[in-house]
Amino acid sequence: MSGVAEFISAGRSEAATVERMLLHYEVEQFLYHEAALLDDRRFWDWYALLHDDLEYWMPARSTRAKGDEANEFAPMGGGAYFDEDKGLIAERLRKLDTGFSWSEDPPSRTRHVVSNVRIVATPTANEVRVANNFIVYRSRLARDEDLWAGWRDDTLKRSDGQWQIAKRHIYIDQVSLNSKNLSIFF
Amino acid sequence: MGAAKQAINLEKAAEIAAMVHLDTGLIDRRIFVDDDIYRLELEQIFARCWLYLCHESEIPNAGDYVTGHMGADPVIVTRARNGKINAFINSCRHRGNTLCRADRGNTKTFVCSYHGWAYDTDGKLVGVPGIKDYYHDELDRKEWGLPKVAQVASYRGLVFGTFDPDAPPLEEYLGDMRWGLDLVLNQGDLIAAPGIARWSMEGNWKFASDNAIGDMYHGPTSHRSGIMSGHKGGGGAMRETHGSDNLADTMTMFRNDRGFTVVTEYGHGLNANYVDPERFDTSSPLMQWRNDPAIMAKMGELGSKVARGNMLVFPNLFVNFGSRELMLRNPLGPTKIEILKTVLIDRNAAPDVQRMQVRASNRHFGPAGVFEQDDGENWDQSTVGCLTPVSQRYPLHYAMGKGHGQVEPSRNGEPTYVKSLMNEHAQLWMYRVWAEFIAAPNWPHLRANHSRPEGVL
Repeated sequence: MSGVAEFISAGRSEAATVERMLLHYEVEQFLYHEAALLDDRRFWDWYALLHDDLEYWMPARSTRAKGDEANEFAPMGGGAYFDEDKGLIAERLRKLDTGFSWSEDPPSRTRHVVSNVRIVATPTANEVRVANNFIVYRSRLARDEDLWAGWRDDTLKRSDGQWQIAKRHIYIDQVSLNSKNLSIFF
Repeated sequence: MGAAKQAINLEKAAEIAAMVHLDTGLIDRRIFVDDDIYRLELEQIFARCWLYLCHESEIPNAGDYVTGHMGADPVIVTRARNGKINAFINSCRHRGNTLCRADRGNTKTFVCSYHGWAYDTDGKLVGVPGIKDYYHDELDRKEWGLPKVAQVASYRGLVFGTFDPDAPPLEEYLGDMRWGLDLVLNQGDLIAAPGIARWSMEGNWKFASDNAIGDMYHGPTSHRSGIMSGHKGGGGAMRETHGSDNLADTMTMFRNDRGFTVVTEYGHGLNANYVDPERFDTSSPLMQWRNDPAIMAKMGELGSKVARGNMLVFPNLFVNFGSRELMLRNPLGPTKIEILKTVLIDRNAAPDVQRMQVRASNRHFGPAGVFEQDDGENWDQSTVGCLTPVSQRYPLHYAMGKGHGQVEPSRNGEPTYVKSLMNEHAQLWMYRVWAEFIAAPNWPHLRANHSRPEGVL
């Protein structure tokens, strides 16, 4: 993630730094707003934040010996928990609306904590690549609890002043998810 | 040095086996939660049956290994230098430390992190620090190799192992379920997609197994939302249809005249829907095998009509016909399960078609699958319902269709089956066989005395 260093490099003018800080603030607020929509269960409002060309991918992970870390995550096209385009996300949201979506009836209580937001690259004025960490807590029924942690490699694109998520690669910190299902989104 | 098996109290085992009431189709709730029954299962079921280990394509080269479990026992599966597949207990003979902590990789030797004992890919103890100076050469390395899984064999790429040297050969154990596995394996030159999805949940492993072997009944309720949201069951094709039309159309699958139920020796089973072959949509790249006459000939008359199918290789491997997953459900105690999901892709297909196959599988199955999401809490909460003394007075009901299941004899290489889909024959059959394994003193007894599917279920 060498773009981060570039971002806060010495010798950059104060004006450029302020500009970068404003962009960072905007992106961070977007991610917080997105998280709030999920936690508030405003799923179709969240859907509107997804770019039409969405790539939403969460590869399977395995424990590897030191030196073999490059193989921890399955390659694209291999085992994954999510490998969605926008249409498949819509299918999941329709499922929630059917009135028979038992895994979310009663609905889960989630808390998406987004942190360590770092803009990695700004290929254009309207595209940013932003790394960010997450902890998602879920509580169901009386005592069922899940806690997931990981980081997300997001690409956001802006059109008409509105940011959308074009790409989200989710890198989870578990090799065996300690959860009865993933009926929520990261 | 051979290890002594713990003696089984056969009288107690017989009492436990009798908790499955075959006359009424009712089952005592305690078998789903009791610690002693679970320990007995680990011996009488998981230490005896052939259990799925991995796909051959996961360990193609010498030194390749995967770690996993057979039941609850941890194992390492290796490809030895001579090309043979070995499996052993993943525990150092010295003090029991987990020998290999990685999920997969490649190595010449496994070295224990505690005192440095080293084993090769044949399980031989090849290195002991201080064997002369500290052990005075009194340790016979030949006696202290890794405990070997007694038999390891492959069926068309699927690697299985059994701890029991008296277990019949794999092909005999699989029996007519080879027909079911062939429905999947005939579709192409199949390999495991890299990367296994794993997740764990509260629940008893048997609820997951009986769901796979013959629970069509839960489809319209548990999976109603998955059906309505645009998923069209079976075939693996990524077709976009949704709304009430899809629901009405899919609901026609859940009729007795639209499918059949296979039960086989040693507790395997399969439930499948069939349609007239002309009705298949073969436009998807995932369906091109249906246009291959050689493949359709191998499927046979009955197989070529199968539109959707779930099968169980007893005790705990679920294989789905359409999306081609192997789903192993290992027990982590009497009330916890870990599921490992492997997707079979066509070695010769283009990468984007291989990815399409994995996506088709993830759409239905896996913890985020629009079908499988709704199974987890059912099994978890069903197990909760078995935990407590007053609830335990009320047996579970596995008697749907009991007395109506005429078993058709095997013909044309097809397995024995019942011409009905909406029933609980396969589930009760699974518990019948479960009881036989629980009570049997050994494999020779089982081979001579196990139930064969015949008559009326």
